[in-house]
Amino acid sequence: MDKRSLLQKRDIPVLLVILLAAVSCILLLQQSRPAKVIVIEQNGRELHRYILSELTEVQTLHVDGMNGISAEIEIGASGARFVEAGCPDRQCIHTGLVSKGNESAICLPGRISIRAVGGDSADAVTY
Amino acid sequence: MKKLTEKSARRLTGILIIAAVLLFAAAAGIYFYYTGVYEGYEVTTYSMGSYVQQTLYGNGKEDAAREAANNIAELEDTISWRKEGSDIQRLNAEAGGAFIDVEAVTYSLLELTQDVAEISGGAFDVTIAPLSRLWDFDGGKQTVPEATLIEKLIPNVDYSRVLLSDEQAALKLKNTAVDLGAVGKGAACDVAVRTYEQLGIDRGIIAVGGSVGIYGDKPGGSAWKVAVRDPESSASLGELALNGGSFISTSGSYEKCFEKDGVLYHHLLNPKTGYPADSSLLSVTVVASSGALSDALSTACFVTDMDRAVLLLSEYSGQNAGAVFVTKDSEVYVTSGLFEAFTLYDDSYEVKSIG
Repeated sequence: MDKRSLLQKRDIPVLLVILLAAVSCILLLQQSRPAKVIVIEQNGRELHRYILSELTEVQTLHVDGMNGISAEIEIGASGARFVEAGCPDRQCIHTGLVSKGNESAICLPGRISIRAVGGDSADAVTY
Repeated sequence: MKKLTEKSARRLTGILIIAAVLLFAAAAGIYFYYTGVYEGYEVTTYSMGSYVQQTLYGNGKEDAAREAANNIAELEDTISWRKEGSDIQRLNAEAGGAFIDVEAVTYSLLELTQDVAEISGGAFDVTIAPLSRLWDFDGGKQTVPEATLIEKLIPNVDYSRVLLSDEQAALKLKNTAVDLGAVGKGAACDVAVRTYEQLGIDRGIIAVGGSVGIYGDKPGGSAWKVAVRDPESSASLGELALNGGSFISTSGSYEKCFEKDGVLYHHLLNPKTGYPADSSLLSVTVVASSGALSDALSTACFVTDMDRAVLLLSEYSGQNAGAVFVTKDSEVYVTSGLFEAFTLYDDSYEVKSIG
């Protein structure tokens, strides 16, 4: 009587199914961790949305805001920042680079905002 | 070991295939649950002189976001001294005169701010208005006022001149004025979370400027993560793991400030000196069970400095008050009740437990 070995030919389909399930799980979990995205809004209206990993070079955007205030925003793979703004306090430039989830830089007088979403990050930032 | 018979082997194979398929289905289910089907609704508005960001989940999230934004705008119309016909504008206009009727929300905010003023020994004082208008950090004015002007206004800053009785308020003397700006953002978080409760959405988080309110719990019981801004960069220095019903506010000298002749002038004025508080802190983040309270306490804690702040917070242990202090010496102190909830990102700081 032949002793049943650990692996037999007819086990292969079973193993394949398990392997497929495992690989799918890993892929799904990886996908469900969302990419880092930068959203640029004016008065709550979305103007631009960038996936950071897809940006290969630094570019500069011009955004017209409220009260005749406009701003220049620099965006690259590492994040986005205000580089020029027509507001008096220049708080938005002072804030610096926005890169991780839920960080934001805001030009209040012009109601222009840069916000990072997604990534494996916090739900909100207190400041 | 018992030998596997042909029949049980086949059965085992069947069970394994079913298990694998179930596993796959579960993974796909989790994926869609967290992304497509159950995506948070994000909306940005502007109120209280701040950026308002809501992320809401569950049935009716869009309506809840709209309703909350409206209620915050209404709150601003009621409590901002800048708004024509607001309770606070009428109160200030009637300074030295009779009691006036105020909305319930104004009354309860004044009760709360008077309580914090008293317990903090005046480190927090809503009658700061004459001084805050003089410095005008909100208006982006970046000059140091004349010392004589500051001296002249200091006697008018006195919270004991605020009188509250039976849903009515009065200011005892002329030249007194109230500014609820130090609790506005926190109070807005309260209003939003109350709206979410009333409309029965699943969960959500609101940020009004740097004040945050959390409503409901995440599925699976994991905590919400609220990052604390590093006062010395635009990044975050750590995060707090918190549950629904927590409110978080931060006061920092980096917020609204300007530098003149090598001195940093920030918006957190000491009501007693009339100048920016000479604190050993760069920032303090306060967690409490109410937004207005966390906002008032963060200001009070910054102005009064750390040791006395810890005592102040212990007076509000019933409201789960706790804090993360960041000192000028790059030390991070976390009150004992919050210590476990805090995780540091940045190694250039050292974390210690206090109080």
